[in-house]
Formats: sequence, C-alpha cells, structure tokens
Amino acid sequence: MFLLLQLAKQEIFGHKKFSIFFILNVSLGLIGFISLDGFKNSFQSHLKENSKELLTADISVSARRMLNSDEKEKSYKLLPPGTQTTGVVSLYSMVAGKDLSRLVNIKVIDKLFPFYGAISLKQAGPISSESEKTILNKPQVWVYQEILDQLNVKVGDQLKVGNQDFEIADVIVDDVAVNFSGVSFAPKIYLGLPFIEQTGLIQKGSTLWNTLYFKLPPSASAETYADLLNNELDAPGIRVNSHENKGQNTGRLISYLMDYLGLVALAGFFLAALGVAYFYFSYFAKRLKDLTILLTLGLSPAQVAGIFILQVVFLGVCAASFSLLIAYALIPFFPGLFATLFDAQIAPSISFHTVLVSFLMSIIGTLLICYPLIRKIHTLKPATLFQEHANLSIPFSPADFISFIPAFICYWGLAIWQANSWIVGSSFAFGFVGAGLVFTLLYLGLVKLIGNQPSRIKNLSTSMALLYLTRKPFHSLVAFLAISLGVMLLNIVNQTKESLQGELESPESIELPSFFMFDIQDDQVAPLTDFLSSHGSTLASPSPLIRARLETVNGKPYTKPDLNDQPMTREEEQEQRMKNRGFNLSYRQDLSSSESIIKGKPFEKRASFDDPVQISVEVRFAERLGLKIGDTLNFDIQGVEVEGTIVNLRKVKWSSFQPNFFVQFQDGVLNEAPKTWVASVPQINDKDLKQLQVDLVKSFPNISIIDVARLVEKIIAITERMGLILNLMALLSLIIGITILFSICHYQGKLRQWDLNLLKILGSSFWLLRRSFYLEFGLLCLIASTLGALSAILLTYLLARNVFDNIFTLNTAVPALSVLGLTLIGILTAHLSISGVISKPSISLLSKED
Amino acid sequence: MNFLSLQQVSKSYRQAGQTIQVLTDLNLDVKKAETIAILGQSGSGKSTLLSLLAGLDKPEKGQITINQQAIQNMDEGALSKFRGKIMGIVFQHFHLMKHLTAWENVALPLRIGSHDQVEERAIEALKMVSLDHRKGHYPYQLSGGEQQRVAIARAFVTKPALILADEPSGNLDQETGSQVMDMLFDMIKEQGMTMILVTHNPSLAEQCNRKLSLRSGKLVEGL
Repeated sequence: MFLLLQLAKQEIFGHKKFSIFFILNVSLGLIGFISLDGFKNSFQSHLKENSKELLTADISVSARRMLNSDEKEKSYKLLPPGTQTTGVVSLYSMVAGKDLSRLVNIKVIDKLFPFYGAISLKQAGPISSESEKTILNKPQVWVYQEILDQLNVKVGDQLKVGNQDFEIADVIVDDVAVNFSGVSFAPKIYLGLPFIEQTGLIQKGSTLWNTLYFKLPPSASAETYADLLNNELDAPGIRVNSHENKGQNTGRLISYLMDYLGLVALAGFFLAALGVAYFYFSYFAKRLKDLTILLTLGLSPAQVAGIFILQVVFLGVCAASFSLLIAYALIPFFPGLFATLFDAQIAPSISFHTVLVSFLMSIIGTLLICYPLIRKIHTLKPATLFQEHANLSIPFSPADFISFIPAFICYWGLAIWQANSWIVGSSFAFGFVGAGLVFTLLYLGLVKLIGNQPSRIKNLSTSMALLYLTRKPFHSLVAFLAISLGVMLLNIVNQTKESLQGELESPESIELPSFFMFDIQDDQVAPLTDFLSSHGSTLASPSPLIRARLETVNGKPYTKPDLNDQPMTREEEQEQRMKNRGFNLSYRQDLSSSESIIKGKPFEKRASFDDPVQISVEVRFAERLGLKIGDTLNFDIQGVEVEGTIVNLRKVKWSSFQPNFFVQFQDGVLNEAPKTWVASVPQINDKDLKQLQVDLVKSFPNISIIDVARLVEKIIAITERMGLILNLMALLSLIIGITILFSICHYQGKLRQWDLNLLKILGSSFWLLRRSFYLEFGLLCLIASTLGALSAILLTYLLARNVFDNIFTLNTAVPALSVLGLTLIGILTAHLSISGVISKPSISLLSKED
Repeated sequence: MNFLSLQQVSKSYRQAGQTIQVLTDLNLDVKKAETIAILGQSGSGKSTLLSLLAGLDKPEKGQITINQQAIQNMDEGALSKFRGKIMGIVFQHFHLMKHLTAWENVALPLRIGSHDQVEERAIEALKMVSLDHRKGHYPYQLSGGEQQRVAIARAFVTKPALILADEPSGNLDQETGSQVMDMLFDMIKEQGMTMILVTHNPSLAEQCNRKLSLRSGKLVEGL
C-alpha cells in the first residue's frame, strides 16, 4: 500500500500541470453548486431558526373569511391553559391621500400582536407584544415609506381607508414576518382592530384573511396542538399552521428559484466533467507506456489501477477544498443578488452539509468519470513493449460508453435532488445529456459530410483548419460540446425571460386592462357601470365570485392534508397546497376572449331546474387535482350543496389580467348564491387613469383596484432579477466551457508543435499557421455557439407552443452576442495558445544527438 | 560557380553554464548536382550544420550562401519562402503529419508554395517511391520504410535544387534502410539535385561524390 501511495504521489506531483488543470476544472464545476448549496442551507436555517418570528406565534388558525365564535371557542378549548391569543384581519383595499390612491394590504392588529419578533417604527422604535400601541386607541396607521412616496403624504397627514380617515402616526422600518414570497404587490399598513368596523371594509364576501395567533405555555408542543386543531377544525377553508410548518412553506419563490439555479449549476458541473474526462483520457494515453512497464515489473493490474484511483481521490479532495475556499469568498454576495426578492437579513455561511456534499460530489464524481478509463488497465498487454514501433493505445469501443452509465445515474439523482422534483429533475438530466448526444451526432455528421473535401480546398489555412477539425474530431468535439451546451443554457435563460416579459407586457391578441377590480358588492355592479360610463369608460367582463368548499369528487370525500405529511417533491407540495384551498367559483354561459375549450363540449343552455349541472375546469388545475371530464364535484356553497359534472376543460390565458376562474358553472345554477364581483376597466390613458382611480376610491371605498400596469412592472422587475441570477449561474457554465476550450486549444498547440515546426520547415509563413489556428477555433466556436443559440430558440419555442400557452418572443440580441462573442473568444484563445508555440525554433525536428 | 557555400561559419551553445563551441570557422563549397556526405561522431555538430544550412538556426559568425543568396540575414518569413522553393528535407524520424493521408502529406509543400495540380503531382511523387497504391493511408497504417518513402516523396515533390537529408535510414532496419537510400540516390541523380547527407554510415557516404568529416568544429575531407 505504501508503494502505491508513493507511486500515486509521483503521478500527482510529477505531472503538476495536469494535476492543476484537473483541480481547477473540477473546482470550477463545483463552485456554483457549492455556493448555492451554502446559501440555500443558510436560507433554510434562517427560516427554521426564525420560524416563530415568521409566524409571530406558536400556532395560527386562519380562514379566508371572518372566523365565527364557535370556531374561536373550539380553538380556545383545545389549547392548554395559559395559552395567549390575539387576532389579526388582513385584507386588500384602496387607501387615498389628498389626491392620489393605491391598493394596500391592511393588517388589522390587536393588543398582543406580535407574540414573537417586533415591528420597528421610525419614531416609536420596536413594537412587540408588550408594547403600548397607539393605533389601538386612536384612528392612526403605521405605513411603509413606499406609501408616503407614492401618495405624496407625510407623517401626520390623513389617509382615507374605506369610510374612515386615519392619521399617519409612524413609518415602518422593519417588519415582523418579513415577506419571503418576494411578490408583495401592495405595501402593508397597520391599523387597530377597534377601528376596522368604521372603515366599512368588512362586508359579506369581502376578500380577507382572519387569523388567530396563539402563544402556548413553554412546555406545550406547537406541533401536537396544531395537529389537534387541524383535525378538529374542519369548517370550510380553515388552515392551521404551527411555526415549524410555516417556516417550511415560506420563501416558496426563492426555493423555486434555487431549484432552477441548482440545475443551471449542475449544467456547469456536467461541462466540467466533460473537460475532466477529456484531459484524463489524454493524460492516461500518455501514461500507457509507463503503466505497461509497471505491469512488467510485477505490479498487478489492480495495483496499478489503485495508483490511479488514489491519484483521482487526492485530486478530488484538493478540488473540493479549493472550490470551498472560493465559495466561501463568493457566498457573501448572494444575499445582495436576492435582495429584491426578500428582505430578510441572512448571514450566509458554509455548513457542514455543504462541505460534505462538495467532497462527495468531487470525489465520487471524478471517480465515476475517470474509472471507465482506469479499468482499461486490465486490457493492457505488456508484451507490446517487445514489439518494434509498439503502438500502445486504449481500445475504447462504443460499448465502453456503458461504463459511464453510473456517472449518468448519479447526475440524474443530483438533478432530482436539486429540482426537488422527479419530473423537472429527470427532464433536465435527460434533456441536457440528450442535447449533448444530439450535438455530438450533429457534429460527427457534419464531419462525415465534409469528408475529404478539406484537402482539396485551395486556401491552405482553411484546408488545414478543416483537416484538424475533421480528422481529430474527438479533440474538437469536447470543445464543441462545452461551448454549444454553455451557449444553449445562457440562451434558454434569456429566451425564456424575454418570452415571459413579452407576454406580460403585451399578451398575444389581447389588450391589457388598466384596472382589475375585486370586492365589488352585488348591489354595486349597476352604479359602478353607470359611474364608469359617465367617466367615458366601461365595466369590462364583470364576473361573479362565489366562495365554496369542495366536499367530494365522484362521491369520495375531498380531505384536507395531514400537517405531518411533509411533501417530498414540488409536485406533492403543489398538490397539498391546492387541497388546502377553498374554491372561488363563477358562472358564465359563454367563454371570455381569454379562454378556449381544449377538451369536451361547451355548456348547454339550462332548460329546467332538474337538468344536470355542468362544470368547466381550467386544464392545469384539473391536472393537479387529477380531475377529468365526467367527474362529479360536490361543493358546499355557504351551507348549500351543489353537485355538477365536468363537461369541458378550458385553457386560460392568465396573462390577460381578465377575470378568470379555475372552476366555472354554467349560467343559471349559482345566480342566486351570495357573491361579490370582479371586473376590469379597459385601457385608458395614464392621466385619466390616475383621476379615475381617485374618483373610484371616493365613490366606492370598499372596492379594491389593482393597477395592472404597475403590477406588470413589478412582476417584470422580479423576472428581471431572477433572470439576472440565473444568467450569472449560466455564465459560470459558459466560463467553464471557455476554460475547457482554452485548455484544449493550449493542449492542441503543444501537441502540434511538431506539425507546426514541420510546416515552417516546409516553407509555411507564420501568418499561414496562425490563420489556420484562428480559423479552426473561430469556426469551431462559430458553429458550436450558433447551434447552441438556435437550439435554445427552438427549445423555448417548442416549450412555449406545447406547454406555456404559446408564450414566445424572440430575443435576437443574446443569440447574436453569444455567437459573435464566442467566435471572437475562439480566435483569441487560438491566438494566446499558439503564440508561444509558433515562435519556438523548428530546429528540434532534426535529430537531437548533435 | 558554387551552388552552396559556407565561409568562416562558427556556432556555439550554452549548456549547463558552459559554452560549447560546435562549429569553428567552418568552410564548405558545394557545386550544383554534387552529393556530399557529412560524417562525424555523436555530438560533433552534424545536425547543427544541417540546421544552419536549412536556415533553422543562425550562425554567430560567417556567411551561408545558397543559390547565390546569403541566408543568414533573411528574416523568418523570407527564410520560410526560400526553404519551400529551394530545399527538400528528409528527416531521420520521417515527421509525417499523423492526421493527413500519404498523398496529403506529400501535397503539403506544393500547397504551401501555391503550386498547381497539387493532387496529381503528389500522386506522381508517390508513384516515384512506388507508394501510389497507398495514397489514402495514414502514417500509422504504413511501415517505417513506407513512411520514409512518403517523406522522400514530400521532399522531392516540388523538385527542389537542394536536398538536406538527416540520417534518412537511421530509424530503419538495414535492408529497408538500404532500399530507401538506393531510391533516394537514384532520384537525386535522375533529377540532378544537390544533396547534403548527414550520416553515421560509411557505406552510405561512399555513394556520395564527396565525403567530409566533422572534427573539432571543422570539416575535413575523407572518412
């Protein structure tokens, strides 16, 4: 063993350049992944450690309506003595300053809120459970600076909330339960519970959330009591949270983003693995003679393999250590990158988990890549050494590629782990590796097509460049794959972002409305229509909204999920979230302009009261809940049971911002049910828009209005930031690709030293040789980046056509820039690689003895 | 009129902190179509002399004139062009490009010199060394002797005035070596070329018009 260690040491230190490249390449592949894992763990630890502050209590019971006294009493009775309680109402409404108004999220709080954490105010400082709260005694509000800025008001000014005027008492500096969702479209304001009645905002059917917060005695287990409450409170739409599961559910947007970032980082790891495989193959081929000599000296093939396994393990450990060091330096920048997506102060660090993951990935990953070659030692024939002009080589047949299957399986597992989804992870692993295989076949096909033509091309530089590309396809293929896959990744990110933003800004064939309105009371529809007509506008697509609870599907009870059932994948998580939801139903006989039936038949006219009730379900919603045409759904609509059968599945263009619903009934069934209305106001010019909003708030203070343009702006800002983060990670992959290209180019330059010398001796000018190199690598990068960019466009187009409702906007800048940039990088790389080699004297070609 | 002339050429190297004088005030005159064998012990400076003649290295002192042109003052570009036009070089280790077929290797000097009918002439040259039937083979598919014949065809294909041959049979077995050398001499004679042959082998030297030995940095007549 000692001998093997010594020989392994000689392999490592005797081939320093190779060792350094190996470590550098693996490290580059790991850096993105490790930094992200470190940040992800820090983020999750933060959520876990601050779960009580996030919920502001040990347990919460909430509903999308006011909880009734029976439900409250039941909760109090189930909880242990000494439990403290406070109630909060959260709703969206318009607030108005002197001459401006906007939608806000109103938090109506009571004396003990928050049990954990504090609301920091600019003047009054931190407000905790014990603090005196002036907003409970006077008609005052605490607001965010954003509201002061947008409504052009200051502390001490009046703010109209519903029917009541409130004085702005203070400005919120830091809030409890920071918003990790990132999508806070309406800034928060706090007002006291005693004053909500006077606002007149809480009406039948109003969109609100009523939450009871509980602080348990220190000895009581939040989880146990949350389970108890969850089992006992089975009224419509009630949701129970303990601080533990609140922590897990928070930060969904960030978690999804990190899933995809993880996949992009994995793409970089794949490219690095590709580079490692190439250089290990080249290195190994050079070592064959020495290996064969070792076999003749008495070492067994297993012992020789052991030397190389030890070498790879050592290099893997070095690579993991190096990438951990770099990640340690990079990770403090992550919170800044995510800044607009959440407000929490996270101090990211590298955890033991991350260290373990990086060592495992580095060692196992490199072993899985290199072992298919190491195992070939068994095929070496020492007798070859006796042969004149012995040509030692590793016979690597297509069948040998099977030995890379364990590496692929591990990669697949990593993708599923990163994506937290079988479907997404598998699609990525097979898609990315599949793209690599398709690119390989295309490249080899192109090489075959070119065939022997290059030797007949008149221009010698072009001819030489093509001859090297086509006669040594293995070398050029690796660089080709590294570049094409890197460019494809970068373009997919940008193409998707462009399509998404394009769709948000101007959805195909639909004009975005100016306002989206909700909480319109039944008796306000007519006056609102008149009001808008008198202001030169119209009330578009008024749609009834009826709250309901799904009781049974095909006669089987539709149960609410157990709090202890932790979802394993994003799909399970989504399904659980769907199950938690009460339903917003609507009815209309005909389809709106933003929907279309993709399966089933349109609603029939309802002839009599006894006719079976027909239901239409949005297609993705149906997929998530496992619903299909013919299924019978039974709803509880405020105490009345209504049963219907699904007759069609609809596709809805949600980006139209028109009122649309997951579940719709045919006309004539729910018309008499208690309801509110949602509607939109078509496009009007910006100046009239502001005035109309102010007038609307004055005349209909309870109606909530979403300024669609502002909402779109906010979503675009978020997609922009997410795009930036994804782009950075994709760029890291491209940098890995360029590093591989540079290394291959440099290595090729050295390998061709003899060829270059010979050509010089035969009379080639330096410029001819340079031009040939520039052409070779410039052409390689041009073809690779064009293929990568075109594949990205094709992929995003196909995805848009088949999955994302035809959302596709062509981004020409990124493909053009990546093709041009990479071609130039290819030429520059060739220049840097060849300069040193070409200037060396050709004399070495003559026999060295003299 | 001399075709090739070296006057007072000196060359030294620095090795391990010491200056090794390889050639000292060396003189040589070669007439057109003359064949010269240069012999000498290992380290005597045979290959250094050849590299100076090929313009691959520059003398510290003296003048080298080939075909009435002083080459020691030419820049790299001019030297490359000159070499491509005037010289053909045969190496001990063949130095064929591995990724090119036999005819493509032979065609290289023609293509570098922008000649016409490249493929036809390359195949014609291969015919001269009886390897036209192997024109599509890569070097690794050829034996050592065959590789050297391809290298000879490459050296002859542009019909250069001067052939520099560096131990052409040094890497071949005796029988193959003598076959290759017979072929080389026949071609030289047939085409009236000048040849400088560096060799260890006295019997090869015997086939040349003149035999020179490198001793103490100077050329002396005879073996």
